[in-house]
Parts: sequence; C-alpha cells; structure tokens
Amino acid sequence: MVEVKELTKRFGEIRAVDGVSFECRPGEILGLLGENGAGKTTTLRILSTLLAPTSGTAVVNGHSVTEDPAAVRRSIGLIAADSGLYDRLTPREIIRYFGRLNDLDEGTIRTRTDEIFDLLDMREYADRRTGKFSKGMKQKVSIARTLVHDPPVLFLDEPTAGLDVSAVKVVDDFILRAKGRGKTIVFSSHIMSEVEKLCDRVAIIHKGRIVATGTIAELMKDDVRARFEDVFLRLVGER
Amino acid sequence: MRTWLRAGQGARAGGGEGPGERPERRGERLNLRHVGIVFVKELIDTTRDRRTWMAMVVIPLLVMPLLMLVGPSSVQKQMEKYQQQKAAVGVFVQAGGVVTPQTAAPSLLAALKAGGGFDVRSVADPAADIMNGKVKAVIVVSPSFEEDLTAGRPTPISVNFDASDQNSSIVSDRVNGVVQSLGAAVAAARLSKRGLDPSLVTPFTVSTNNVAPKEKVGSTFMAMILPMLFGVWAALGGMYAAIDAAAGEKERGTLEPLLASPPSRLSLVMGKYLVVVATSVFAAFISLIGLYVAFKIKPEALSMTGDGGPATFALPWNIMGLMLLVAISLAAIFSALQLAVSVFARSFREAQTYLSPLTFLIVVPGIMTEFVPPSEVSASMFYIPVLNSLFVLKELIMGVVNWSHLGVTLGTGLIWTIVSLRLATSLFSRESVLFRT
Repeated sequence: MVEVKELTKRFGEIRAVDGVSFECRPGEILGLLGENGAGKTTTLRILSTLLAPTSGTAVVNGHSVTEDPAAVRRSIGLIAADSGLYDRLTPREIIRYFGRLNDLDEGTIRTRTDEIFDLLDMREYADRRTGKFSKGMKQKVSIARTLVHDPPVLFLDEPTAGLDVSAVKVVDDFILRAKGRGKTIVFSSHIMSEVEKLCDRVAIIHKGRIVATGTIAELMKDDVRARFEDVFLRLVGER
Repeated sequence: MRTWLRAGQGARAGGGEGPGERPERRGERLNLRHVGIVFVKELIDTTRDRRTWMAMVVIPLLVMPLLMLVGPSSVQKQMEKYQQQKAAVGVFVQAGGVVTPQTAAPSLLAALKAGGGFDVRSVADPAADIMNGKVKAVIVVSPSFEEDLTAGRPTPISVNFDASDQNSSIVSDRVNGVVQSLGAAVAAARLSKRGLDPSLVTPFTVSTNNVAPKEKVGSTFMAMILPMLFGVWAALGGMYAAIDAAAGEKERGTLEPLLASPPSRLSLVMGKYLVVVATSVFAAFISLIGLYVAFKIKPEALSMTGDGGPATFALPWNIMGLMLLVAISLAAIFSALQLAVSVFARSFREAQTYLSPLTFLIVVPGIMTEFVPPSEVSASMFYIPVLNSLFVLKELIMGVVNWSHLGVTLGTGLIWTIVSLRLATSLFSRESVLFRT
C-alpha cells in the first residue's frame, strides 16, 4: 500500500512536486503519467527515501518516508529511469550484493537467485560480467536485483525507456506477474499506450501537480473523442 | 567513532525539512555488517579494474626502480661524457694586439696539450665566443705571461666560463686543474733551481675517509627520498578506488538503487571509505617492495656521493610496523577527502579533474621535508598535518623512534581524519550533492 498526501518538493524556487496526493493498493498498478520534467522522477525518489519532501506525507507499506526511511527501503524495489549495473560484476554477484544489503541469509539468496534466473531465462549469462550486456539483458539483471528480497512495493521509473520490443515484453510480463502476486506497483511513464496496456488506474501529473486520477475508462467517460492521447492533452492543456 | 558520526547525522536530520536534507531518523545508524558487505563488494569491484591495478601495484612497483636506475645514471652519463670528451677551449691574450697565444703563453698551451682532452681554438672575444658556444671556456692571460713566469713574477690569469651552462662549468673545472698543476710545476722548478726541496711547500698530504657504516649512508639517502615517495602512495594510492566508489556509481546509474536499499548512508560511506584506505596503504607497501627491487639491482644507487662505496639499507620489522601506522594515518585523511570530492563530482572524468589539486597537498610538503634533517625540525612542526607524517617517516627511516613526535602526528592525524570523514559523510547525505545536475 502506498498513500501519498499533499506531497511537495521545492528545489529553491521551483516546485518540482506540488501538493501531490494519490493511493495505490496491493495488487494494483498505478500509472504516473506525465511529460518529461512533470515531477514523476522526483515523486518516486521521495517515495524511495532518496529525497526528503519539503512538506506533505507519504506512507509506504505502513512506514512513513520521513519517520522511518530504513523500514521503507526494506519494503521497496526501485528501478530508476537510467538504472545501471556494476560492469565488472556478474549478475549473480550483483544479486547477491543486494540480497545481503537487504539482510537475507546466504541460503535464501541462493534459492531466490536460481528461481529468478529461471523465471527471467538468464542462466546462460548469470556468471558473465555485465559490462558488455545488451540493454535488454541489463534490464533483466535490474529486475532480478529488484526482486531478490521480494519487496511488497515496486517503484518503476520509466523501466522500458530505450528498450527494444522483446525487452519491453520482458518488463511488461514482469510487471503483470508482480501484480498477480499482490504487489503494490507505481509505474511512471510518458508513453500513453504503455499506461493503457498495464495500469489499473492512472494519475496524470503536469508541472508537479496531479491534474486527474482514475481508471482510463473514468478519465475518458465525459469525452466523446475516442483516443486517450486527446484526453491527456486536454487535461494537461487546461492548466 | 560511532558517536561522533551519528552526532553529525543527527544534527542534520534534526535540522528540519529544508532542501538538501535527507530523511535520516532514528534507527539510521552505523551497521558494521552492512559496512562489511559494502567493503567486500567494493574490494572485488575495484580489484577487477585495470586502472586500480595500474595505480595500486604497477606504478608504485616500477616508479622507484625507474627513478633510481634511469634518472641518476642518465645525468651521470651526460656528465661523464663532458668529462672525457675533447672540450673546445680558447686562450686569449689580454690587450695583446698582435701577440698570439703561441708567443705569449707557449708553456700554458703545452700544458693544455699534455693534459689531453682539449681542443684549443683561437678566440676573438672571450665572452661572445663562450656564449655563442664556439668554446666552453677561455683562459685569459697577460701579454707578458711567459716573461713573468721566467722572471719569477706573479702573473694574472683568469678562466672564463658560462655558469648557466653545466657543461661549461665542468670544462672550466678541468681547465682550472691544468692551470693549477702548471702552477705547481713552475713553483717546484723555481724551488729546485734555488736548491730547495719542493715538498717543503706541501706540508700536508691530505686524504678523506668516510667512516660512516654502509647502513648509515644508505639510510641518509633513503630518508631524503623515501618519505615523499612512500607518502605519495599512502595518500593517493586509493584515488581510483575513491573515484569508482562514488562518482563511478553516479556515472553508471547504480547510485539510486544502492541508496534505495536498506543500509544507512553512513554504513555505505564507511564501507567505501575503508576500501579506499586499504587500497592506499597497499599501494604504499608495494612502493617499498619496488624500492627493494631497485636496490637489489643497483646497490650503489644508495650512496649519495658515490665515494662511500656500496651502501646498504634495511628496515627492521618494528620500524616497518610504525611506518605502516603513519601510512594508515595519511591514507585515512586523504581517503576521506578523495571520497568527498568524488561524491561531489558528477562523473569519473570530473572527479579526476577535481582530485588532481589534491596531489599538491602531499607533494609540496614532500619537497619541503626532503632536504631538512629531522633533528633541525622544531616540535611545533609536528602539529602540521601531512608535513608531520613525512617528518616522522624520515625519522623512522633513519632509525629514530621519537614517541612524542609519533604520538602528536598520529593524534593530529586522527583529528583530521574525523574532520574529513565528516565532510565526506555529510556530502553523502546531501541530496543537492548526490543528485547534482
């Protein structure tokens, strides 16, 4: 469960996030849809405790991001927009590192690692250094790293940016599978079709403010035009 | 250590919700297990980097042998070349008009010829011909040179050379030698002519003997060069590890997932910090091995004067242990500074640029200590960071263990370590630094 209330983040004079509120329940995928610079990354960084909010509250899996950030970090998996990997380590080593950082014992790490490698079909290159991997392979390692401690909440900041079609499919499958297992997923994107395809509900963010929230059907209800793009542009254009 | 570090974190965390603050709250403390996990990972990661091996092993291992073996011997060869080669010199008759050196100073020309190694040329203008490189030195004599000699009168003679040209100086020394021995021969002839024994005017036969033991000669030389070379590696040997551990994480995009994992930032920084310290100390000791190799190959390089015979040098284990302490103290300060700079930088390249001035912090004190014997250093100097470490290293290499100097040096080192480590941890907690764009 993720509950965000009146979250605000100022950088000097700029309000990158301005009174944002939304909720995401277990088993639900919330799409944070907005253009570049709308405040998606800042919001997800606050929820991951990388940034402190200027005001407002956010509760992740029952823990406040300002009161108990360590507990929040134990509950989340983050794939950031330009997440990278340690070039000189192998997928197995990277996953072990994050398993250990999440206080898992060695036995659990081994079992989980094997499960994940099978799930994502990455046994073949599990022990090769990641430096020369393709983007798709790297993204699988990022996903694997995020899954090792089986967090109840996932924050995915444009996880498909720059990936080819088959790699996008891997990410989509992963997201849908996580939803099936009751994870709370907040997913940011600027691509309408992606949000339409995956998300149960959408929060449209523009210039740091949430301009509309609801299911896609709800958002398109009062609109005679059939395309979601047009709805988005109307909502954003109104501001 | 925990207390002061936590105090630093707490102070910021309590400072409110202003921009640049991080939501550190209770429970966010140093976790030694997390420190260990980060340490092991960074160690594996950095030892797989070729750049680390270059900076940590290859260069420290080779720089001493190369410096010792190639450097001095090439200068020496150049000097030997000028000592043996035929040198162009001139003899000029002061206000001689038409009088040539051949008529004015035949005995001098004969002496130069007998001395060998001179190519005597005629010169029109002594100063100009030296400066334009036609000759390396010019002996100026009076027109009455030969007459004065025969008559037993003192005659003026001057040797002109170019002090800005090392080779000209060498040649002028050789010319002086010829002139001196000609003078001695003339004097001896005069005494014999009067029925006196020439040895009457040489009351002494002087010889100099070096009584210092070989080890002492060796350690004096080592005390001059080793503190700086050892200190440089102790201070900077971990630079690549530091760049990789912070700026490298930013550049690769691995910082965000790492920061979103449970360990506190303090634990993350400490794990990284300890790897940088370990790498630096390791590099310093590799440089010692390089030095041993150099002296195994060429033991005479230890002797400063060359006439002391082959010198030897050995470090007892207890001295090595104390040098290790000083190296750790230096590494502790510099590693924190390097990590602080590295976390501020946005990329690997930027970190390298920002870190290069740090080199001066060790090289300048290194040069300052090079020619100062520790016995002439006032006690207050041992309160100056870095400089004190270098002086203590110098003492240790000479076999002097001064516990108060050592204590003050390590004590101030600890204070500076705390200051620089707090800088590093505070930068690591600042979102404006971590997410600088």
